[in-house]
Amino acid sequence: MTSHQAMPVESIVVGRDLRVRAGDRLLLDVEAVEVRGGEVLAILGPNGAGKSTLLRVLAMLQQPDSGSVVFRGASGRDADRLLRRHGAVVFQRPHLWAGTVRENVEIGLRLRRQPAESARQMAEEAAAQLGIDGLLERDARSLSGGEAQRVAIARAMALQPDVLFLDEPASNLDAMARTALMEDLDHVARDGRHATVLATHDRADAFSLADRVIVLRDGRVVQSGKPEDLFENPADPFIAAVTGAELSFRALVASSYDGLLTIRIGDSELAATGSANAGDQVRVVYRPEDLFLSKTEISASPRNRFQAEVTEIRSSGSLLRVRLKGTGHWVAVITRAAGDELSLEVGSRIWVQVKATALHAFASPAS
Amino acid sequence: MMGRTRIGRSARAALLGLTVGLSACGGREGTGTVVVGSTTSLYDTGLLDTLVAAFEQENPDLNVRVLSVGTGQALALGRRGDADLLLVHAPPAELEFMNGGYGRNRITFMRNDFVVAGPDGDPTGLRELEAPDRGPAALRAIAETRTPFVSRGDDSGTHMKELGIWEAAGLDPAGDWYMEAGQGMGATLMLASERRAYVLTDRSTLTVLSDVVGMVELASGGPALENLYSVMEATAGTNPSGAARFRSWLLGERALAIVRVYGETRYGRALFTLVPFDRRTSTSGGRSRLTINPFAEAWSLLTSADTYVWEVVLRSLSISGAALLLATLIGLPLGAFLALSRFRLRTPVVALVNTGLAFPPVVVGLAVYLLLSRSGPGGPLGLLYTPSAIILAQVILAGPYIAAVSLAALDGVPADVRQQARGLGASQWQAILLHLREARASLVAAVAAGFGAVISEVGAVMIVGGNLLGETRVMTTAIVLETRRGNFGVAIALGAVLLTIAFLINLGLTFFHGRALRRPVFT
Repeated sequence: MTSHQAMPVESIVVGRDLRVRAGDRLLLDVEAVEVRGGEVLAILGPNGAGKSTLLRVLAMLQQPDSGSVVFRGASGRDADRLLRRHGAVVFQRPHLWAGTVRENVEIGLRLRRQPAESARQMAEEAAAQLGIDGLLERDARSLSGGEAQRVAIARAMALQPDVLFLDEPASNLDAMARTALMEDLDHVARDGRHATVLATHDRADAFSLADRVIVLRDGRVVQSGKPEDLFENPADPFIAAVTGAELSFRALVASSYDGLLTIRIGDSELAATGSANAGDQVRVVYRPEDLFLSKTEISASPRNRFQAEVTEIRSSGSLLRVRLKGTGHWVAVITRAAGDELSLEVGSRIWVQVKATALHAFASPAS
Repeated sequence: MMGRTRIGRSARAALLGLTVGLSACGGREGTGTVVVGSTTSLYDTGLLDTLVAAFEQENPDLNVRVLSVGTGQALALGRRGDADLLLVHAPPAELEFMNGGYGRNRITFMRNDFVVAGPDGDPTGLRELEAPDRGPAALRAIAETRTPFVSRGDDSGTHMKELGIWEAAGLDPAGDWYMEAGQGMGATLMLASERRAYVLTDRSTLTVLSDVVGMVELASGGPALENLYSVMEATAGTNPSGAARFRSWLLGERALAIVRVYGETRYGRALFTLVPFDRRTSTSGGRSRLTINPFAEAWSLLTSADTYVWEVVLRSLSISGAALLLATLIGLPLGAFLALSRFRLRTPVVALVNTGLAFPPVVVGLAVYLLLSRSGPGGPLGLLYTPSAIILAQVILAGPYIAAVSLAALDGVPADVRQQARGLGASQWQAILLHLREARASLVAAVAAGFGAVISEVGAVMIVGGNLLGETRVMTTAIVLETRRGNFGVAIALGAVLLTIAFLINLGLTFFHGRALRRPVFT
């Protein structure tokens, strides 16, 4: 698996008996949660499950109604002080202060009274890491959503934190910006120098980044473990639905080059993205809305193109959920209008296209 | 506006521009309106209202509008054609007016007398004075003992009379003890009462207000204190026939019968007595125009470093500056506290602060007056009619304003900005400062707008400051006074300074805002 698994599994943030109430409602009720040094911990769950609340409680930005958070053995004010110094949080909607991008990237360093020259250097390094070094002199309020989120991550990374908290960092972005950002986050999270806590409702994000996943439902942890465990042994149908076990398949990596993989399913080969080596067993996840269907073979940019047979069509509102068989089993979600145009019916053969970046592979030891 | 042809164009612009309520009449000839410029004593005692009501009952086609402004101002109104008929009580000024060709058919038709009034204790012992002419004797005694004395200081008939008596006594009053109110008789009496000072007043106003202000008659009698009221038509007036009709009526049986007994039932004695007909004087009517260009005068005042104008400007700036400093020190932290914290009674407190936005300045003036007047809880401080009183009123006006606007500005910053700052390592205080920083343009605007509000405020300042020359006379109250006196040059000069200050504030704000918020906020 990834390199940092070899690191000592010291817990740096530990939460115990965390409860957060809003009136009579229990927003969060988590018995135990820990973040280990260097790992990527994903908090996965549907909207309203309490992900952001748990993340803010662990980051000590929100006081739980009961329970405790311990950071590097310290609790209370000491933990808060240490976490402010050694932690950094990136929000779903980052607030960029009036001023230039450079001022924003340096802001945390300035708060820590970092000398100007080294602050400048650290900010520039972080900006380069996130590909925003060209924007440093721009007015921060003039950025696009994707650029702003990169600035927010860069200013967190510039602090060289021991633990990085990411609260739905990509959910506010369009598909293009999101894909690019998640790729960069993959590098950021895996540099092994810090632990990452990622709150997300997107299983593909969670499974492509995380070493461990906590699944939240109604404020409670319903299952936690390595991604593979959740796939192989979902505790209940809810977990199966959340993890999207049906929207994944196993494959063998034929070759790997700079994050781009060629994976083999039976006799066919597909292009995918992820960090794995040739010969690794991987699990590949995708979003059913990322599949493009067409009647005839169309030449287009997606790297993967194959024929499949429609095995089932289920309608849900204005959408159709289409099961396909061909180079593995697939599920696609298309609009009803698109379905009519394609004159889809069970048994008809159809062309499927899917981009390599829509197939996320992560290492999965053979069971 | 028709029927206003004789007023100089620039003076009319000044009237409109400076929003002084003198020009509230329109279309007089067509609708049969007679404008009467009157001394305040006739109006404040209620006599003029009684006379006008009786006249209008008999003459339903004529409508009488009274401008109760004081003799000097009434004459100025007549000179400009803003009044048709004048009821005044300053014979020397009246004769000058007649000689200038501004009036006709002047007749002195009623009288009472002036008295020197003061606090009941009579510290200078005016009651014991033995002199045939009590007026000059009383003022001489006051000047010699340097006992506080409040002059009307507003070119009114009473003021002119007072200056005449000083002159007759061979004195030129000056010093700490001599104050100039620049206000009407009632306000001057109240001011004198608060300061335990002497004052020259017409008997009728003192009779009416004696119980209210606690001032008593201490010296009266003698030729110098005679008070003669005249009526005359203004040659520049636009309704000469209406003016002539009202004048004839005032000299007729019914009016004289009213005057003869007016005040008897309420005060135990008539307030005025009638003057025999042999004191009638009249002149023919020449026509005159306003000859001084008030704008040129204003320009020369501003460029020649006129002491009066610049002293008033500096006092305004220092008083309002001090008030703004205090209001900011109170309002900004209060607004910030309300924006940043959540506590049980927050909602009512916020509502209270927002109510402060809508405080009518005169009500604040009244409240501060009651607080600081000698009979009020703050009386022992002796702050009424001092710059401190003005500062207090302005702080009460600007403090909630700054607090409410700061609160709104800080509420306008995304709610989790402090949490985001904490997420980057900020301490609680650093997070608050980063929150304030995001609203700094609006906070500066709040403070600047607060300054604009207090420096241009007039009602409260007049009530609690008293418009004392050299002490509490600020730009706004000086403009009111000088406009009433007809000193348009001074009023325009002060108005121009006030406008310039407002412009500079807004220029600065626009510049600052433009720099701080030149792009849409990313959320």
